Amino acid sequence: MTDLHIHSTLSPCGSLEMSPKRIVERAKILGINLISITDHNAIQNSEQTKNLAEKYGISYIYGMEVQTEEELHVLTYFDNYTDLSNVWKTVYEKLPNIKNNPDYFGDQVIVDEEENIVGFEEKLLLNSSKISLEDLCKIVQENNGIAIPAHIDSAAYGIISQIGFIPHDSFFPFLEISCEHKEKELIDKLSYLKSYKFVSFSDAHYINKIGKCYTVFELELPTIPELLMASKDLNKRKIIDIIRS
Amino acid sequence: MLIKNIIKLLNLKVYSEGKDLNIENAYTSDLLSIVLANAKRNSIWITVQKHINIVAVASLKEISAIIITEDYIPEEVIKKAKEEKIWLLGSKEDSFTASGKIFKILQDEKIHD
Repeated sequence: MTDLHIHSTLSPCGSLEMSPKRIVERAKILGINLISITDHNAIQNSEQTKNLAEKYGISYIYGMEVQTEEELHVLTYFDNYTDLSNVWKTVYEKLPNIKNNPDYFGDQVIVDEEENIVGFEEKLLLNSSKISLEDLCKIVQENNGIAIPAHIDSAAYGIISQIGFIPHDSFFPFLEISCEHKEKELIDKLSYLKSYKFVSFSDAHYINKIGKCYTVFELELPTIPELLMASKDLNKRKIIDIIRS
Repeated sequence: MLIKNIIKLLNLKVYSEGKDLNIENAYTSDLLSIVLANAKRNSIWITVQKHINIVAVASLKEISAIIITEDYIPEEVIKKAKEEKIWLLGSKEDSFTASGKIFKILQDEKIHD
């Protein structure tokens, strides 16, 4: 059971209950055994969540949800922190210097393993980094990561709503479809999508939404190369099912 | 020009009310990040974007009124705009036409000042 799209307290829209500890505990209860925190243009809650996940016997993949200059959301994943951090530095540097106002967007809180508040991100994270989709994909690839367009069926921030269609030369191993829709409905409307593999993750901003939908993979290890194999149905790696509760 | 006069001149539908301020600027864009970067305060924002975040962006940038062109407005957006006391206005015209009319109104006013 894999849920690779979870927002923590660091995302302005994420609930203040979404501490690394609460997220990992909730995943444990639900039996989700592979997770990722994907905050908007930020990673400062990643390491502590990975550490906690390991203590609970849950696998973790480093992640971040980037908002590109086309104002679309792309999930990015990495096997190690250095790669994630390299990409984040570029994304963050190109994020406009507009101060978050918590009254309108919510707090952006960095929390440690014991749920202590250790800092606040001052820059508004729910904004576009001045990086194009193409350039983002390039640096993600250079840093051994993968990129997955998020909630492609969504009316806002989705790749289809923002740029009309998925570029032919893109290297996305999967497309994420939100919990509310089924891939068949989308393919009926846009037949070119049938050549893609779909995944669904919860996009949880609240504790009770974690695992609202999730993807079941057949993998040997919880790593990027394994996910890439599953995207091509290689060596018995595959997507078994998408579950929507 | 006062917002109430612009509403009359463009025949806009009022979904939420704010203060009736004098408007000197307007901005047209559907990308929230561009609006965050460039819109001026006490202005009118013309857009087809109906995501609820438009209200937060308008609040942060102190935009007085949002005109949504061409389409319906979701209930949750109206509710949020009322809470924030931001003018939320609907136009049956497209953004080009609505922007053109407002541009002309604001230009004419500058000439007469």
